[in-house]
Amino acid sequence: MPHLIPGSRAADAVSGGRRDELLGLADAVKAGDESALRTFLSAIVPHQMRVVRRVLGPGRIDVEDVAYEAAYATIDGLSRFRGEGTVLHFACRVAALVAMNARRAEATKKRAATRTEDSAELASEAPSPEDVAGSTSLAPIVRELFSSLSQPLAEALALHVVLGYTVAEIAEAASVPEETVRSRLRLAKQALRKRVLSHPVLREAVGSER
Amino acid sequence: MKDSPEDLSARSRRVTLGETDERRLGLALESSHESRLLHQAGLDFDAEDAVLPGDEAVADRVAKRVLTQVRAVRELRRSTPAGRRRLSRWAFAAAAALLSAIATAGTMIAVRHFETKAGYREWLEMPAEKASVVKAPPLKTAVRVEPAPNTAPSVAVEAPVSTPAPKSKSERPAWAENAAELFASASLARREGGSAAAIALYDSLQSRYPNSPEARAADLPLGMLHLQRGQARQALVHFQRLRQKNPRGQMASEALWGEAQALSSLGRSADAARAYAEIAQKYPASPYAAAARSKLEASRSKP
Repeated sequence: MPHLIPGSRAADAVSGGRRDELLGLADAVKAGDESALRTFLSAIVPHQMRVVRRVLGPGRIDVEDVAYEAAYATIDGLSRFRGEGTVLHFACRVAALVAMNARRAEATKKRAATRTEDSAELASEAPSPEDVAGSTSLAPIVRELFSSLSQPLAEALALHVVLGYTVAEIAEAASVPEETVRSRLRLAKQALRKRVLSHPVLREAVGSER
Repeated sequence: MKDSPEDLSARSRRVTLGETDERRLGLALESSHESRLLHQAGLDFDAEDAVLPGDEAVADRVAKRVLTQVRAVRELRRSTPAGRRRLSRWAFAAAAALLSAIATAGTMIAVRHFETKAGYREWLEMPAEKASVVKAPPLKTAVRVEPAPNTAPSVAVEAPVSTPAPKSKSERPAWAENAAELFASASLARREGGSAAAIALYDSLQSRYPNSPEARAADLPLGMLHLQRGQARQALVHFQRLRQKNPRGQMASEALWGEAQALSSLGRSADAARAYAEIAQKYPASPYAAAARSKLEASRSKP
Protein backbone atom coordinates (compact mmCIF):
# COMPACT_ATOMS: atom_id res chain seq x y z
CA MET A 1 0.00 0.00 0.00
CA PRO A 2 1.66 3.21 -1.06
CA HIS A 3 1.98 6.13 1.30
CA LEU A 4 0.03 8.91 -0.26
CA ILE A 5 0.91 12.50 0.30
CA PRO A 6 -1.91 14.15 2.19
CA GLY A 7 -3.06 17.03 0.10
CA SER A 8 -2.12 15.44 -3.17
CA ARG A 9 -4.76 14.48 -5.61
CA ALA A 10 -4.16 10.98 -4.43
CA ALA A 11 -5.33 11.74 -0.95
CA ASP A 12 -8.37 13.55 -2.24
CA ALA A 13 -9.31 10.67 -4.41
CA VAL A 14 -9.11 8.40 -1.41
CA SER A 15 -11.21 10.73 0.67
CA GLY A 16 -13.97 10.62 -1.88
CA GLY A 17 -13.68 14.01 -3.50
CA ARG A 18 -15.31 16.06 -0.78
CA ARG A 19 -15.73 19.76 -1.31
CA ASP A 20 -12.76 22.04 -0.89
CA GLU A 21 -12.82 23.04 2.74
CA LEU A 22 -10.00 25.50 2.39
CA LEU A 23 -11.63 27.58 -0.29
CA GLY A 24 -13.56 29.76 2.15
CA LEU A 25 -10.47 30.23 4.27
CA ALA A 26 -8.44 31.17 1.24
CA ASP A 27 -10.98 33.85 0.36
CA ALA A 28 -10.79 35.20 3.91
CA VAL A 29 -7.00 35.23 3.72
CA LYS A 30 -7.14 37.17 0.49
CA ALA A 31 -9.44 39.66 2.20
CA GLY A 32 -6.82 40.23 4.90
CA ASP A 33 -8.35 38.24 7.78
CA GLU A 34 -5.42 37.42 10.06
CA SER A 35 -7.11 34.71 12.10
CA ALA A 36 -8.07 33.00 8.85
CA LEU A 37 -4.45 33.27 7.79
CA ARG A 38 -3.31 31.48 10.93
CA THR A 39 -5.78 28.69 10.42
CA PHE A 40 -4.95 28.46 6.75
CA LEU A 41 -1.25 28.17 7.50
CA SER A 42 -1.85 25.52 10.12
CA ALA A 43 -3.71 23.53 7.48
CA ILE A 44 -1.24 23.79 4.64
CA VAL A 45 2.22 24.02 6.17
CA PRO A 46 2.49 20.41 7.44
CA HIS A 47 1.60 19.14 3.96
CA GLN A 48 4.00 21.53 2.31
CA MET A 49 6.80 20.42 4.60
CA ARG A 50 6.31 16.81 3.54
CA VAL A 51 6.36 17.76 -0.11
CA VAL A 52 9.46 19.88 0.40
CA ARG A 53 11.21 17.05 2.19
CA ARG A 54 10.41 14.67 -0.63
CA VAL A 55 11.88 17.00 -3.21
CA LEU A 56 14.94 18.04 -1.22
CA GLY A 57 15.67 14.59 0.12
CA PRO A 58 16.20 13.28 3.63
CA GLY A 59 18.52 14.85 6.16
CA ARG A 60 18.37 18.36 4.75
CA ILE A 61 18.56 21.17 7.26
CA ASP A 62 16.94 23.71 4.96
CA VAL A 63 13.52 22.06 4.93
CA GLU A 64 12.18 24.71 7.27
CA ASP A 65 13.49 27.60 5.18
CA VAL A 66 12.17 26.16 1.95
CA ALA A 67 8.82 25.33 3.55
CA TYR A 68 8.66 28.91 4.73
CA GLU A 69 9.32 30.18 1.22
CA ALA A 70 6.67 27.82 -0.12
CA ALA A 71 4.09 28.92 2.44
CA TYR A 72 4.77 32.56 1.77
CA ALA A 73 4.64 32.00 -1.99
CA THR A 74 1.30 30.26 -1.53
CA ILE A 75 -0.19 33.18 0.38
CA ASP A 76 1.29 35.58 -2.13
CA GLY A 77 -0.06 33.54 -5.02
CA LEU A 78 -3.59 32.98 -3.73
CA SER A 79 -4.83 35.86 -5.83
CA ARG A 80 -3.67 33.99 -8.90
CA PHE A 81 -5.26 30.71 -7.87
CA ARG A 82 -7.69 29.88 -10.64
CA GLY A 83 -9.55 27.09 -8.90
CA GLU A 84 -7.78 24.31 -10.76
CA GLY A 85 -7.85 21.47 -8.25
CA THR A 86 -8.27 22.21 -4.58
CA VAL A 87 -6.48 24.86 -2.58
CA LEU A 88 -4.40 22.14 -0.95
CA HIS A 89 -3.37 20.86 -4.40
CA PHE A 90 -2.29 24.36 -5.21
CA ALA A 91 -0.29 24.67 -1.98
CA CYS A 92 1.41 21.31 -2.51
CA ARG A 93 2.21 22.17 -6.10
CA VAL A 94 3.73 25.47 -5.02
CA ALA A 95 5.78 23.62 -2.39
CA ALA A 96 7.04 21.11 -4.95
CA LEU A 97 8.06 23.84 -7.36
CA VAL A 98 9.67 26.03 -4.73
CA ALA A 99 11.66 23.08 -3.40
CA MET A 100 12.63 22.04 -6.89
CA ASN A 101 13.83 25.55 -7.63
CA ALA A 102 15.84 25.53 -4.41
CA ARG A 103 17.57 22.36 -5.59
CA ARG A 104 18.18 23.84 -9.00
CA ALA A 105 19.61 27.06 -7.57
CA GLU A 106 21.92 25.06 -5.36
CA ALA A 107 23.10 22.97 -8.30
CA THR A 108 23.71 26.10 -10.37
CA LYS A 109 25.82 27.60 -7.60
CA LYS A 110 27.83 24.41 -7.33
CA ARG A 111 28.47 24.39 -11.05
CA ALA A 112 29.49 28.06 -11.00
CA ALA A 113 31.85 27.45 -8.08
CA THR A 114 33.36 24.56 -9.96
CA ARG A 115 34.05 26.73 -12.97
CA THR A 116 35.43 29.71 -11.10
CA GLU A 117 37.48 27.84 -8.57
CA ASP A 118 38.67 25.19 -10.96
CA SER A 119 37.89 22.60 -8.37
CA ALA A 120 36.05 20.14 -10.49
CA GLU A 121 37.16 17.35 -8.30
CA LEU A 122 35.67 18.97 -5.24
CA ALA A 123 32.33 19.47 -6.87
CA SER A 124 32.15 16.05 -8.37
CA GLU A 125 33.46 14.46 -5.24
CA ALA A 126 31.00 16.13 -2.97
CA PRO A 127 27.99 13.97 -3.64
CA SER A 128 25.06 14.02 -1.39
CA PRO A 129 25.70 10.88 0.63
CA GLU A 130 22.23 9.56 -0.13
CA ASP A 131 23.17 9.50 -3.79
CA VAL A 132 25.90 7.01 -3.24
CA ALA A 133 24.55 5.21 -0.27
CA GLY A 134 24.09 2.00 -2.19
CA SER A 135 20.34 2.28 -1.85
CA THR A 136 18.22 0.78 -4.58
CA SER A 137 15.68 3.57 -4.32
CA LEU A 138 15.30 5.63 -7.44
CA ALA A 139 14.36 8.73 -5.46
CA PRO A 140 17.92 10.15 -5.18
CA ILE A 141 18.44 9.76 -8.93
CA VAL A 142 15.16 11.51 -9.64
CA ARG A 143 16.16 14.33 -7.31
CA GLU A 144 19.33 14.76 -9.31
CA LEU A 145 17.20 15.05 -12.40
CA PHE A 146 15.17 17.83 -10.78
CA SER A 147 18.39 19.83 -10.81
CA SER A 148 19.78 18.81 -14.16
CA LEU A 149 16.77 18.61 -16.49
CA SER A 150 15.31 21.70 -18.10
CA GLN A 151 12.70 23.45 -15.98
CA PRO A 152 9.61 22.21 -17.89
CA LEU A 153 10.81 18.61 -17.87
CA ALA A 154 11.79 18.75 -14.22
CA GLU A 155 8.44 20.25 -13.32
CA ALA A 156 6.49 17.56 -15.15
CA LEU A 157 8.64 14.89 -13.54
CA ALA A 158 8.22 16.36 -10.06
CA LEU A 159 4.46 16.68 -10.32
CA HIS A 160 4.20 13.09 -11.51
CA VAL A 161 6.57 11.27 -9.20
CA VAL A 162 6.33 13.44 -6.08
CA LEU A 163 2.67 14.42 -6.14
CA GLY A 164 1.33 11.58 -8.26
CA TYR A 165 -0.30 13.76 -10.90
CA THR A 166 -1.71 12.27 -14.08
CA VAL A 167 -0.89 13.70 -17.49
CA ALA A 168 -4.12 15.68 -17.57
CA GLU A 169 -3.51 17.11 -14.12
CA ILE A 170 0.01 18.20 -15.00
CA ALA A 171 -1.28 19.78 -18.20
CA GLU A 172 -3.90 21.70 -16.24
CA ALA A 173 -1.40 22.85 -13.62
CA ALA A 174 1.19 23.93 -16.16
CA SER A 175 -1.34 25.31 -18.64
CA VAL A 176 0.04 23.31 -21.53
CA PRO A 177 -1.52 20.69 -23.83
CA GLU A 178 -1.54 17.10 -22.65
CA GLU A 179 0.56 16.07 -25.63
CA THR A 180 3.27 18.45 -24.44
CA VAL A 181 3.21 16.84 -21.02
CA ARG A 182 3.49 13.37 -22.55
CA SER A 183 6.46 14.53 -24.54
CA ARG A 184 8.10 16.02 -21.45
CA LEU A 185 7.53 12.89 -19.42
CA ARG A 186 8.92 10.78 -22.24
CA LEU A 187 12.14 12.81 -22.25
CA ALA A 188 12.31 12.69 -18.47
CA LYS A 189 11.89 8.92 -18.55
CA GLN A 190 14.71 8.62 -21.05
CA ALA A 191 16.93 10.71 -18.81
CA LEU A 192 16.00 8.57 -15.82
CA ARG A 193 16.82 5.38 -17.68
CA LYS A 194 20.15 6.79 -18.76
CA ARG A 195 21.02 7.68 -15.18
CA VAL A 196 19.98 4.29 -13.89
CA LEU A 197 22.05 2.49 -16.49
CA SER A 198 25.10 4.44 -15.44
CA HIS A 199 24.60 3.49 -11.80
CA PRO A 200 25.92 -0.02 -11.13
CA VAL A 201 23.88 -0.78 -8.03
CA LEU A 202 20.62 0.46 -9.47
CA ARG A 203 21.23 -1.10 -12.84
CA GLU A 204 21.46 -4.46 -11.20
CA ALA A 205 18.55 -3.84 -8.84
CA VAL A 206 16.03 -2.70 -11.42
CA GLY A 207 17.23 -4.92 -14.23
CA SER A 208 19.19 -3.64 -17.15
CA GLU A 209 17.20 -3.84 -20.32
CA ARG A 210 18.88 -1.90 -23.01
CA MET B 1 -8.53 8.74 -24.90
CA LYS B 2 -6.77 5.63 -23.70
CA ASP B 3 -4.94 6.07 -20.42
CA SER B 4 -1.17 6.36 -20.73
CA PRO B 5 1.11 4.26 -18.52
CA GLU B 6 1.76 7.43 -16.48
CA ASP B 7 -1.98 7.85 -15.84
CA LEU B 8 -2.37 4.23 -14.86
CA SER B 9 0.69 4.51 -12.65
CA ALA B 10 -0.65 7.62 -10.90
CA ARG B 11 -4.02 6.00 -10.31
CA SER B 12 -2.39 2.80 -9.13
CA ARG B 13 -0.43 4.80 -6.55
CA ARG B 14 -3.74 6.24 -5.37
CA VAL B 15 -5.15 2.72 -5.14
CA THR B 16 -7.99 3.64 -7.45
CA LEU B 17 -7.32 1.19 -10.27
CA GLY B 18 -9.70 -1.62 -10.98
CA GLU B 19 -8.48 -5.12 -11.76
CA THR B 20 -8.62 -4.62 -15.49
CA ASP B 21 -6.62 -1.42 -15.33
CA GLU B 22 -4.12 -3.01 -12.97
CA ARG B 23 -3.56 -5.70 -15.57
CA ARG B 24 -3.18 -3.04 -18.24
CA LEU B 25 -0.66 -1.26 -16.09
CA GLY B 26 1.22 -4.51 -15.56
CA LEU B 27 1.37 -5.10 -19.30
CA ALA B 28 2.44 -1.53 -19.97
CA LEU B 29 5.22 -1.76 -17.42
CA GLU B 30 6.36 -5.11 -18.77
CA SER B 31 6.68 -3.73 -22.23
CA SER B 32 8.49 -0.53 -21.33
CA HIS B 33 11.55 -0.38 -19.16
CA GLU B 34 11.33 3.41 -18.97
CA SER B 35 7.72 3.35 -17.79
CA ARG B 36 8.63 0.74 -15.23
CA LEU B 37 11.41 2.94 -13.91
CA LEU B 38 9.15 5.95 -13.66
CA HIS B 39 6.48 3.94 -11.87
CA GLN B 40 9.06 2.51 -9.50
CA ALA B 41 10.41 6.01 -8.83
CA GLY B 42 6.93 7.12 -7.82
CA LEU B 43 6.58 4.14 -5.50
CA ASP B 44 9.98 4.91 -3.99
CA PHE B 45 8.90 8.47 -3.23
CA ASP B 46 5.65 7.18 -1.76
CA ALA B 47 7.57 4.81 0.47
CA GLU B 48 9.77 7.49 1.97
CA ASP B 49 8.86 8.51 5.46
CA ALA B 50 7.94 12.13 5.04
CA VAL B 51 6.98 12.86 8.63
CA LEU B 52 9.61 13.21 11.31
CA PRO B 53 9.48 13.84 15.03
CA GLY B 54 9.53 17.55 15.65
CA ASP B 55 7.69 18.40 12.45
CA GLU B 56 4.84 19.91 14.39
CA ALA B 57 7.13 22.44 16.05
CA VAL B 58 8.80 23.24 12.74
CA ALA B 59 5.42 23.77 11.10
CA ASP B 60 4.47 26.14 13.91
CA ARG B 61 7.61 28.14 13.36
CA VAL B 62 7.08 28.30 9.63
CA ALA B 63 3.53 29.55 10.19
CA LYS B 64 4.77 32.18 12.63
CA ARG B 65 7.41 33.39 10.20
CA VAL B 66 4.90 33.76 7.42
CA LEU B 67 2.51 35.59 9.74
CA THR B 68 5.30 37.91 10.77
CA GLN B 69 6.23 38.68 7.21
CA VAL B 70 2.66 39.20 6.07
CA ARG B 71 2.05 41.55 8.99
CA ALA B 72 5.19 43.51 8.24
CA VAL B 73 4.31 43.92 4.59
CA ARG B 74 0.79 45.04 5.49
CA GLU B 75 2.16 47.43 8.07
CA LEU B 76 4.54 48.83 5.52
CA ARG B 77 1.64 49.39 3.17
CA ARG B 78 -0.30 51.26 5.81
CA SER B 79 2.57 53.34 7.12
CA THR B 80 4.12 54.46 3.87
CA PRO B 81 3.47 58.22 3.75
CA ALA B 82 2.16 58.45 0.25
CA GLY B 83 0.17 55.31 0.56
CA ARG B 84 0.20 52.28 -1.64
CA ARG B 85 1.05 54.26 -4.74
CA ARG B 86 4.48 55.00 -3.42
CA LEU B 87 5.09 51.60 -1.96
CA SER B 88 7.68 50.58 -4.43
CA ARG B 89 8.92 47.13 -5.07
CA TRP B 90 12.24 47.84 -3.49
CA ALA B 91 10.55 48.65 -0.20
CA PHE B 92 8.86 45.27 -0.20
CA ALA B 93 12.09 43.64 -1.19
CA ALA B 94 13.95 45.39 1.60
CA ALA B 95 11.33 44.39 4.14
CA ALA B 96 11.38 40.85 2.86
CA ALA B 97 15.16 40.71 3.01
CA LEU B 98 15.23 42.10 6.52
CA LEU B 99 12.58 39.71 7.72
CA SER B 100 14.22 36.90 5.91
CA ALA B 101 17.45 37.65 7.76
CA ILE B 102 15.61 37.64 11.06
CA ALA B 103 13.71 34.55 10.11
CA THR B 104 16.81 32.78 8.94
CA ALA B 105 18.20 33.33 12.38
CA GLY B 106 15.33 31.31 13.65
CA THR B 107 16.08 28.40 11.41
CA MET B 108 19.80 28.07 11.06
CA ILE B 109 21.10 25.26 13.12
CA ALA B 110 22.62 27.30 15.87
CA VAL B 111 19.92 29.86 16.23
CA ARG B 112 17.14 27.48 15.51
CA HIS B 113 17.78 25.21 18.39
CA PHE B 114 18.87 27.42 21.08
CA GLU B 115 17.40 30.24 22.91
CA THR B 116 20.11 30.02 25.50
CA LYS B 117 23.78 29.27 25.61
CA ALA B 118 22.95 26.07 27.40
CA GLY B 119 20.82 25.09 24.44
CA TYR B 120 23.75 25.47 22.12
CA ARG B 121 25.96 23.42 24.32
CA GLU B 122 23.37 20.70 24.52
CA TRP B 123 23.19 20.53 20.75
CA LEU B 124 26.90 20.70 20.14
CA GLU B 125 27.58 17.96 22.61
CA MET B 126 24.67 15.76 21.71
CA PRO B 127 26.02 12.35 20.68
CA ALA B 128 25.76 11.97 16.93
CA GLU B 129 24.06 8.63 17.16
CA LYS B 130 21.14 10.25 18.94
CA ALA B 131 20.07 12.13 15.91
CA SER B 132 20.96 11.49 12.34
CA VAL B 133 18.47 14.15 11.34
CA VAL B 134 18.68 17.56 12.94
CA LYS B 135 15.64 17.92 15.08
CA ALA B 136 14.44 21.12 16.55
CA PRO B 137 13.23 21.12 20.10
CA PRO B 138 9.92 22.83 20.62
CA LEU B 139 10.32 26.53 21.13
CA LYS B 140 9.38 27.86 24.50
CA THR B 141 7.59 30.70 22.81
CA ALA B 142 5.98 28.61 20.14
CA VAL B 143 2.33 29.27 19.62
CA ARG B 144 0.02 26.43 18.95
CA VAL B 145 -1.93 27.29 15.89
CA GLU B 146 -5.48 26.10 15.95
CA PRO B 147 -6.20 23.01 13.91
CA ALA B 148 -8.02 23.71 10.70
CA PRO B 149 -11.75 23.77 11.11
CA ASN B 150 -14.13 24.55 8.32
CA THR B 151 -14.43 28.12 9.34
CA ALA B 152 -11.90 30.55 10.65
CA PRO B 153 -11.93 30.63 14.44
CA SER B 154 -10.72 33.51 16.48
CA VAL B 155 -7.30 32.72 17.85
CA ALA B 156 -6.79 33.94 21.35
CA VAL B 157 -3.07 33.47 21.60
CA GLU B 158 -0.98 36.24 20.13
CA ALA B 159 2.00 35.11 18.13
CA PRO B 160 5.25 36.88 18.83
CA VAL B 161 6.26 39.24 16.09
CA SER B 162 9.85 38.27 15.77
CA THR B 163 11.94 35.16 16.08
CA PRO B 164 11.94 33.39 19.43
CA ALA B 165 13.05 35.52 22.32
CA PRO B 166 14.50 34.30 25.57
CA LYS B 167 12.14 33.98 28.47
CA SER B 168 14.08 36.50 30.46
CA LYS B 169 17.16 38.58 29.96
CA SER B 170 18.94 36.82 32.75
CA GLU B 171 18.86 33.58 30.80
CA ARG B 172 20.90 34.93 27.96
CA PRO B 173 24.11 36.93 28.17
CA ALA B 174 24.19 40.36 26.58
CA TRP B 175 26.61 39.39 23.84
CA ALA B 176 24.38 36.60 22.69
CA GLU B 177 22.10 38.78 20.63
CA ASN B 178 24.98 40.18 18.64
CA ALA B 179 26.61 36.81 18.14
CA ALA B 180 23.28 35.40 17.05
CA GLU B 181 22.73 38.29 14.69
CA LEU B 182 26.15 37.84 13.15
CA PHE B 183 25.53 34.15 12.77
CA ALA B 184 22.18 34.85 11.13
CA SER B 185 23.70 37.39 8.75
CA ALA B 186 26.47 34.99 7.81
CA SER B 187 23.98 32.21 7.25
CA LEU B 188 21.86 34.42 5.06
CA ALA B 189 24.89 35.41 3.00
CA ARG B 190 25.82 31.75 2.64
CA ARG B 191 22.34 30.78 1.51
CA GLU B 192 22.31 33.54 -1.04
CA GLY B 193 25.57 32.40 -2.52
CA GLY B 194 27.82 35.10 -1.12
CA SER B 195 30.48 32.75 0.11
CA ALA B 196 33.14 35.44 0.55
CA ALA B 197 30.77 37.62 2.57
CA ALA B 198 29.64 34.63 4.59
CA ILE B 199 33.21 33.68 5.42
CA ALA B 200 33.98 37.25 6.46
CA LEU B 201 30.95 37.33 8.74
CA TYR B 202 31.64 33.94 10.30
CA ASP B 203 35.28 34.98 10.82
CA SER B 204 34.15 38.18 12.44
CA LEU B 205 31.82 36.23 14.69
CA GLN B 206 34.63 33.93 15.78
CA SER B 207 37.04 36.76 16.47
CA ARG B 208 34.55 39.00 18.27
CA TYR B 209 32.73 36.36 20.27
CA PRO B 210 35.20 33.47 20.43
CA ASN B 211 33.51 31.84 23.39
CA SER B 212 29.99 32.06 22.09
CA PRO B 213 28.19 28.90 21.04
CA GLU B 214 27.56 30.57 17.69
CA ALA B 215 31.30 30.86 17.12
CA ARG B 216 31.73 27.17 17.80
CA ALA B 217 28.86 26.26 15.52
CA ALA B 218 30.38 28.42 12.76
CA ASP B 219 33.24 25.99 12.19
CA LEU B 220 31.08 23.66 10.15
CA PRO B 221 29.75 26.20 7.63
CA LEU B 222 33.20 27.79 7.49
CA GLY B 223 34.76 24.45 6.64
CA MET B 224 32.15 23.78 3.99
CA LEU B 225 32.54 27.21 2.45
CA HIS B 226 36.32 26.95 2.25
CA LEU B 227 35.97 23.50 0.76
CA GLN B 228 33.59 24.77 -1.89
CA ARG B 229 36.06 27.50 -2.74
CA GLY B 230 38.88 25.03 -3.13
CA GLN B 231 40.61 26.21 0.05
CA ALA B 232 41.11 22.78 1.50
CA ARG B 233 43.77 23.75 3.99
CA GLN B 234 41.57 26.31 5.72
CA ALA B 235 38.62 23.94 5.54
CA LEU B 236 40.63 21.27 7.29
CA VAL B 237 41.44 23.58 10.20
CA HIS B 238 37.74 24.28 10.81
CA PHE B 239 36.59 20.68 10.51
CA GLN B 240 39.33 19.47 12.84
CA ARG B 241 38.63 22.19 15.37
CA LEU B 242 34.95 21.35 15.43
CA ARG B 243 35.72 17.71 16.05
CA GLN B 244 38.31 18.45 18.70
CA LYS B 245 35.90 20.63 20.61
CA ASN B 246 32.93 18.30 20.24
CA PRO B 247 34.17 14.81 19.48
CA ARG B 248 30.79 13.33 20.30
CA GLY B 249 28.72 16.22 19.01
CA GLN B 250 25.86 15.89 16.61
CA MET B 251 27.88 17.35 13.78
CA ALA B 252 30.92 15.17 14.36
CA SER B 253 30.17 12.89 11.43
CA GLU B 254 29.67 15.86 9.11
CA ALA B 255 32.92 17.37 10.32
CA LEU B 256 34.77 14.11 9.77
CA TRP B 257 33.31 13.79 6.28
CA GLY B 258 34.47 17.32 5.52
CA GLU B 259 37.88 16.53 6.97
CA ALA B 260 38.21 13.49 4.73
CA GLN B 261 37.29 15.51 1.68
CA ALA B 262 39.72 18.25 2.58
CA LEU B 263 42.50 15.72 3.12
CA SER B 264 41.69 14.10 -0.18
CA SER B 265 41.90 17.36 -2.06
CA LEU B 266 45.21 18.13 -0.35
CA GLY B 267 46.54 14.89 -1.79
CA ARG B 268 46.83 13.23 1.60
CA SER B 269 45.20 10.05 0.39
CA ALA B 270 46.27 7.84 3.26
CA ASP B 271 44.93 10.28 5.86
CA ALA B 272 41.73 10.67 3.87
CA ALA B 273 41.31 6.90 3.74
CA ARG B 274 41.75 6.72 7.51
CA ALA B 275 39.08 9.38 7.94
CA TYR B 276 36.69 7.53 5.62
CA ALA B 277 37.33 4.33 7.55
CA GLU B 278 36.64 6.16 10.79
CA ILE B 279 33.30 7.40 9.44
CA ALA B 280 32.29 3.91 8.39
CA GLN B 281 33.30 2.52 11.75
CA LYS B 282 32.10 5.23 14.13
CA TYR B 283 28.99 6.38 12.34
CA PRO B 284 27.63 3.35 10.52
CA ALA B 285 24.09 4.74 10.66
CA SER B 286 24.97 8.15 9.32
CA PRO B 287 24.22 9.06 5.72
CA TYR B 288 27.96 9.43 5.17
CA ALA B 289 28.85 5.85 6.01
CA ALA B 290 27.94 4.29 2.69
CA ALA B 291 29.64 7.09 0.79
CA ALA B 292 32.74 6.65 2.92
CA ARG B 293 32.79 2.92 2.24
CA SER B 294 32.53 3.45 -1.48
CA LYS B 295 35.36 5.99 -1.31
CA LEU B 296 37.45 3.41 0.50
CA GLU B 297 36.66 0.73 -2.04
CA ALA B 298 37.50 3.08 -4.86
CA SER B 299 40.83 3.96 -3.30
CA ARG B 300 41.68 0.29 -2.78
CA SER B 301 40.86 -0.59 -6.36
CA LYS B 302 43.24 2.06 -7.66
CA PRO B 303 46.54 0.58 -8.82
